[in-house]
Amino acid sequence: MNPDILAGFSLAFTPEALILCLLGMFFGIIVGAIPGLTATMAIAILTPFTFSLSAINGLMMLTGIYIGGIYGGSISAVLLNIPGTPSALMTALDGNPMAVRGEAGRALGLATVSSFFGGMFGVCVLLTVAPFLARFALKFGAAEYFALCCFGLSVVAALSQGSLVRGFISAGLGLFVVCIGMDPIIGVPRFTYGSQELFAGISYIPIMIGLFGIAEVLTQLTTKEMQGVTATQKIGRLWPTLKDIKVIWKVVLRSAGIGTFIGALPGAGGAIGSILGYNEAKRISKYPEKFGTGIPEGIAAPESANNSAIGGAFIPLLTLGIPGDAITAILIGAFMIHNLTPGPLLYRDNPEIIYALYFGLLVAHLYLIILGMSCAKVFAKAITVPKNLLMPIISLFCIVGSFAYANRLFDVMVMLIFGVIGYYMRKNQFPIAPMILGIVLGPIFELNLRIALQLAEGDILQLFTRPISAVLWIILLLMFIAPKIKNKSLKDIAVND
Amino acid sequence: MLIHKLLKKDSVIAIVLIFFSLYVIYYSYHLKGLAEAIDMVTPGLVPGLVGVFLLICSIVFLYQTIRQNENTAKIHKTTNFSSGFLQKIISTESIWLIGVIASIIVYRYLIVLFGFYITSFVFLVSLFIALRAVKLWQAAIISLVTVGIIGYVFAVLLRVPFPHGKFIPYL
Repeated sequence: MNPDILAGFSLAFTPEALILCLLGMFFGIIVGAIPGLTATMAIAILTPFTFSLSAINGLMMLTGIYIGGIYGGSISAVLLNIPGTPSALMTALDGNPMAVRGEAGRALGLATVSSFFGGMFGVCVLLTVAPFLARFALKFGAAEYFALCCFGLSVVAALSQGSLVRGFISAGLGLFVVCIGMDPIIGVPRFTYGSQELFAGISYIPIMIGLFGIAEVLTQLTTKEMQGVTATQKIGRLWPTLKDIKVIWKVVLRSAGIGTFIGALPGAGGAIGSILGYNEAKRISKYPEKFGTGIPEGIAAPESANNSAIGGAFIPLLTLGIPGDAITAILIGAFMIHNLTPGPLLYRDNPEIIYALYFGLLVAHLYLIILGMSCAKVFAKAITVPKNLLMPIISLFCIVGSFAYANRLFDVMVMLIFGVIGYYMRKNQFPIAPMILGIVLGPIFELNLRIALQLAEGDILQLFTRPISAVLWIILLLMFIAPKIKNKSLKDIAVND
Repeated sequence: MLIHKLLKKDSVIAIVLIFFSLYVIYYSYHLKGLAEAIDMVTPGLVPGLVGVFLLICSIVFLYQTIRQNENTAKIHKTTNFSSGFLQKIISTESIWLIGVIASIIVYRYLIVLFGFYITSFVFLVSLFIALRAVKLWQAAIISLVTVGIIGYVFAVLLRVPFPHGKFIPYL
């Protein structure tokens, strides 16, 4: 057997790693289930915790939080009609009506089983596709990485909710933040204004904690409903019947395929995957009018899609070093804390870490179905914690997490500033995900652009005419032009009719 | 009429971004570096490109908001930057916002004087009371337990050296 696979197995199946993954999963489900808290926030706040853990132990814990958080959103979606996470938005449409009918257990069971199978599908695709993509990615040079960064930034901006321009502005501001500090090639200070702390640039972890943690706290504290909510439905039988399985299995597979593909697109994520999975299931259903009334397919489709997107999101992260969504963007920070750089070189130099992560993903999904089925009633109780009790504790975690990263109180102020920025961005409908991706991709963007230009001796055309980068730029152009051509054609058809 | 349109919230944001972008471009243009033999590849290249990109996006955003404001007159009352400015400053929302921000700033400076444990305990109790989450004695117990757990996890398990207070150096 491949020695790297054996090494990965031995790293992932230590008691410490397994326990941390289980704890992460448990915590992630609770965080995902509480409306207002997200897996993104939990991972952002807990990433500094992993500093003293080994790389794979830390990553397994964070992976458990990630998968648990995405699944946990379905619990409040079903019981309260409030999606715990954006990925559970569509689950509420059929999950809550089914629960109101007295079948809360059935709804939760369908969500759990669909999440499990969807997630396993995504991981299987990751296992098969990623090694080939990693080998291909070794052929990437500076120009190709620059094109990939632009591709990643534009996709997330285009797919972010709200106007396209707001998405691009958010991404641009993220790129600007990265420019603060010493220039990466020559060492010239930029936008530091003589500040010693700014010479090293602004750390990514406090920014992330501010944008997702403190911004959420500020948003929650300034809304009127501060008390928790109570789930009134009783949870009965959880395991789906054979009849339900016969109804949903095709939907689960199809949605898993959609979710994995969407998850693999840089910046897309589970929320978009679940929406597309639900829409597709409704479109090809024999009875689309029943969607929204509490049918099994309406729960299975989005849950399968949003969990399969996790495996998809890991594909660009591990093979190219480009995050698939906001959470994997934060996971890059976790890799960096342990001096690992995700990308094709990680496959070449540390394959045991990659294989350990694969095993970790499989284990986490097994935990999902075990915990989901056995602890549904516990999670249902957990979502009733009042927000005015939770928010101060989360604030303290944010402060301590920001400080712990580099033992600087300056980072606490950075966290606060970005928390306020994140709050106002949300209020004014500027998406935050493009900014995070701008901050993550910014260093890769700048380094590769300048190296590519230096190698080409200033000839800009070489950035666009190398074969792989040319293909990426053409795909990018098509992504922007195709919808406009399609809209124009539809208008022409309407006029002719 | 144009001034009226420009006072809409989104327009103000767009104008601020335009000035910001212009500043970034100006600053980047004057950045000097050793690699001036290839003029383009200077430290100011990427900030300059980002500035130009932001400038274009901000102008487009301003144009869109002005066009939108022409079509939706009803928005005028709720999003005009100048109207109700004072009410917005002293609204409940603003008070909470300023309160939380101020508490974190005060925390940052007090931790140097009183150390992590006392400052965090006072921080939590204050917020619990301000939010009317629980009674004072409950707030004290919850804060004590929370600070204890965080302190143990970070200081003992993760060996993060919290600042010692100048007045109480052993905490």
